[in-house]
Amino acid sequence: MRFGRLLKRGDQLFAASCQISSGAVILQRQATDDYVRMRVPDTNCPPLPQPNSPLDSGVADEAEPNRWLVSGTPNTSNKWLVKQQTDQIQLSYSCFSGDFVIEVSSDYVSKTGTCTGEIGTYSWDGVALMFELGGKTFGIGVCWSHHFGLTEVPWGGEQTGRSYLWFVAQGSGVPLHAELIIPNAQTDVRYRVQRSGSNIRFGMLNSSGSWVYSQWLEAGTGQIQFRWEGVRVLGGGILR
Amino acid sequence: MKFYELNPNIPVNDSYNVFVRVSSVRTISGAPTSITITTPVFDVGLPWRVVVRGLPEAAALHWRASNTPFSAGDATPPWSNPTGEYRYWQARLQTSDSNILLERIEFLPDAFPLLVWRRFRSYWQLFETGEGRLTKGPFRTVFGSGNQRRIGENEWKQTNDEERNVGDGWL
Repeated sequence: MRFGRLLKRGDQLFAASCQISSGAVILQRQATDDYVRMRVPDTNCPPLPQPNSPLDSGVADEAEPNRWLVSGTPNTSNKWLVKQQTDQIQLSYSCFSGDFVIEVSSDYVSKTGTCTGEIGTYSWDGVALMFELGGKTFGIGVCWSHHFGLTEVPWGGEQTGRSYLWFVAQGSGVPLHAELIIPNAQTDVRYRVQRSGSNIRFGMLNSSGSWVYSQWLEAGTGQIQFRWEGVRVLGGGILR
Repeated sequence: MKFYELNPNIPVNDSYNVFVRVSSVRTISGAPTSITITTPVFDVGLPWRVVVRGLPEAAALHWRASNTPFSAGDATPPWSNPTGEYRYWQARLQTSDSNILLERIEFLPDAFPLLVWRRFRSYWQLFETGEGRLTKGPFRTVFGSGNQRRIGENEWKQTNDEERNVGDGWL
């Protein structure tokens, strides 16, 4: 008799009859195989397995064909290369009932296309870690940024600079947003999401190695389902 | 892609497609200290020596057992990994490492059947175990325990006189 794999009559999947602790989630690998993992988004972004090509090595991501819900065609052969216009990678379960801090290592790689605008207008194009909470969409990501007539980042006069953008959007209204430009930032720069109580704030690592945080933003409680998705913000809004 | 336009009256013509690499995510704080999966209480039919295994081996495995029925959430018997002959068994697998997946829990008989012999309506079995050969029995054989069909309000017809061996075939 076994639990977690159906090999003989009488075997049962974990989901059919077992109890898990509150910080765990049961995921199915195949119709005859499931397993239990911690409800966290942690990953080193390895090549993602294809559905129905399961291993049961017990190693995170390597043997989890249904942990990440992928749409579009992100290239996951060398970390995860996400294209702004078409790709999305979403965690298949939600995380964190209470306070938390998560940290993402990411980087701008390249772009195609063009962008023009009047002096004084702005554009941000990038890929953000997004989530829904309390009826709002929150996000922070690495962006290509135009401030027409002023700067163009990641380069914008700083060849190794990087640009972060965080934003909070609700309905069709203008999103609350802010940008941080980090001159001389190296690749694999980092950003954070932190929740305390029902408030969220974003952190961005500057080129001095110090964390720069946004103000606290009213968010909400409950578990969060994270995803990476392209984002575009256009116009002449007021930077906060 | 999420799209936000802050001021539609001032057009920006943007056809960029930006490529971003995500390299890692880690939880700095707020992760569960550990996770656990617990099986139901498993009745093996008769007091029996059972080997409990958990996969992967890096996860902590605990089990408990008793010859008295108990519920999955009961405080007793203790999770003391007993090795004797018990009828009721329960196991749990635990890890505090977010990179470890809890894959499987197995209850295996600690005996390999070698021989069965019968006398009247009882039978015995001979097993090879890690501690030498072991005889189990007698087991009862129950006649007329096959399918029944209802033919009246209080009438049932025995449709199959198959014998069933109580306590047999639980693994």
